[in-house]
Amino acid sequence: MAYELMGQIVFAAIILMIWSILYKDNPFYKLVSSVSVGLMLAFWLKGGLESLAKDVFTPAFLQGNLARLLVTALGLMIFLRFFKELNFASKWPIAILAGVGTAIAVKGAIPSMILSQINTGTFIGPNIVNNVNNFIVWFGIIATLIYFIFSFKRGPITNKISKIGQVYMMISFGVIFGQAVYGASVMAQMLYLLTYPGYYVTIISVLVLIAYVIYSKMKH
Amino acid sequence: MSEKKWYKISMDTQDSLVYLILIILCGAVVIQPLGLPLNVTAETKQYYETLRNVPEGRVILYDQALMVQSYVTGSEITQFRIIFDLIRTKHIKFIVLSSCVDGPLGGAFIEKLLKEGVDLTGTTYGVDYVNLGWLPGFELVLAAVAKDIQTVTAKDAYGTPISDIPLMKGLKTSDIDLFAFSCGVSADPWMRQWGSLGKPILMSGGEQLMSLSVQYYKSGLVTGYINGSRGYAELEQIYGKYTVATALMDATNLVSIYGIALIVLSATMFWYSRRKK
Amino acid sequence: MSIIKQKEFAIILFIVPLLFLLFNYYTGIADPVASEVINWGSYLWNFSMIIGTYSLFRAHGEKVIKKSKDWIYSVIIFVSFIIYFMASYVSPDSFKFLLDYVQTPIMLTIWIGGFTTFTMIFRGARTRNWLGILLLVSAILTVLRMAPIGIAIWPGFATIGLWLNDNPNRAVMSAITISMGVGLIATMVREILGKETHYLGE
Repeated sequence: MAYELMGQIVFAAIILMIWSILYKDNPFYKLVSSVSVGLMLAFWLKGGLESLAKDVFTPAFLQGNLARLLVTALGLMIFLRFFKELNFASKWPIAILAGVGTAIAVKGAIPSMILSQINTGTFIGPNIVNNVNNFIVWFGIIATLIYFIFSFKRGPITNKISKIGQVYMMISFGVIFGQAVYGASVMAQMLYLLTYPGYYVTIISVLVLIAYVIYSKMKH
Repeated sequence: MSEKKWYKISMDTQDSLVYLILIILCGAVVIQPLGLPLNVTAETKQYYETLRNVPEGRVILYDQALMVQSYVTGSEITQFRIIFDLIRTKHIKFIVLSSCVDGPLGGAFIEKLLKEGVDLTGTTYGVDYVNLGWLPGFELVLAAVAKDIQTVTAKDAYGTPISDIPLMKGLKTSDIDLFAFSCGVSADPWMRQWGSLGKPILMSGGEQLMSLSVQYYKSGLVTGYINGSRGYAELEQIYGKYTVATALMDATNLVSIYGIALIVLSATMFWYSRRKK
Repeated sequence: MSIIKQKEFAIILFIVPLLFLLFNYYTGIADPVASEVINWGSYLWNFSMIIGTYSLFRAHGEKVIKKSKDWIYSVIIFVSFIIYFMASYVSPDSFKFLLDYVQTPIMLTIWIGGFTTFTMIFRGARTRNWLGILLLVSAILTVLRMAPIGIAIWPGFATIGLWLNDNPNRAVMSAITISMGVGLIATMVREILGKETHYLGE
């Protein structure tokens, strides 16, 4: 119980320390930023090393898996970037990683990002509303694509179509912006700040802030 | 000497006022909840029905890449509860992992969800569900899952070799009947890797996920989606057990009106100042 | 020896797994090898993340040694790292405390998204032309669709908002997705031809 109580106080205190940046840059915010960097580094290192231990080092050194031994060697070669004469070798594992990443991205891009997107549905189905909507989508895709293509000089027709593409884009960005506005709530934090025991921390922080503001004004 | 007009406040002060009003609005609903009714949209119903209609004994794979939001704002608790109900009633199998690009915290939050968010009675780890933990590589993990689930990792999140886990024995990627994932903003990596598998995919996540990934839903790659925090609250309405996600709806109502008011005010102030010039 | 020092050798190391994986994807030949190669990518990604943490340590270590500006915060980074790292192995209760009551509020709050969004709204809604007004109107209609209070005011907002999302927005997102897909392929071709070597840090 005391553990949870202390934890919730710390929880509220950390939220307020981060929010203090909204007033001005201060040591509390820098402290929490530094702590967060330390925690994330610890988590990354712990998770990364444990993952390597179970999937790479154990098969390589305890089970004699040659492929994993080779990838261990490649992974360690990345550290050669800190040595000027051997810097060239540190690029090899990065090149392999980039090759693998590019392959998996490209092979997935063709069916999902290109082929499935060029099918907008029929314009001559039984439902007129669907037909109109499908036409709107089809035309919008073309207009937006024309807007983004700069490798040919636009004639009067393509110019008009690209302007219609702009209209589509403004509507689309408005939709995305609207969803960002909708989701911009801080109630999750307020729940911790205005309920027991967080409200004690909030009251103390507000009083400290007021005192600081009054002190700053008097000083000037 | 010209008088300084009271409404000519500095940008910093304007920002501070914006923040203060936001804090007051969100704080007000904590103290006095509004309790406005929430209608359930067809999209959330579709997500729920797709999940519920997974045939008996089938396998669901879930990639939790939403991290802290998944627990603190109650985002994925209901989804996990529904899945564990399905484990009990329909004997489905559940594999959960995290490809979260933000790091191993994804794995930590899966463990929190399993320990504190769901009722595990009537289920057996290793037989009914397995937690593969956080796996490094993000899209590389998704590609590895799509290629061969057996090679994704040698051990689960608790150090048990995959070969010793009954659920995973002989399991192929083609045996997985439903893929689900949660993510922040962009569904592109999941679509690239899982889109061509021909299996139903369920998507959930951040507020802007749906508007940025609607093309995948409309083209049939995604079968159902949860539309941000509102979608999670709707799912709770359907399921009948509430968490923070429903409580957050009150704040989003007020904040939405505030956002609209700010847009109108800002645009009006700008036109007025340009007209004066 | 001089050949392997050259950039072209790294480009070959880039091309070989790329072409092999694409070949496997379209033919299904050598599946187990392809799985292993994809997993290699994960492991090398992991190694590169670890070296990223090492680089960060180096940078902050130098700050502490030279006692540069704000060096004390670099010390705090090291201290919090050591405490967290050791707690995860030595004291699970302490680790859980740090995760639940220190890490969680930090992750929840550090990006102060709600506030920055509203600042963006307040400053960004100052539009000069009708396209900007269209963006704002579309945003307002979307907010009214998403918020339960919008539908309580008028149920039509749901229909309009959904139509905007499912039609014009879908068109633009499809176009952007197609462009991204084509761009990925074009970038791959440029990388294979050696015209693009950003992955080598050049």
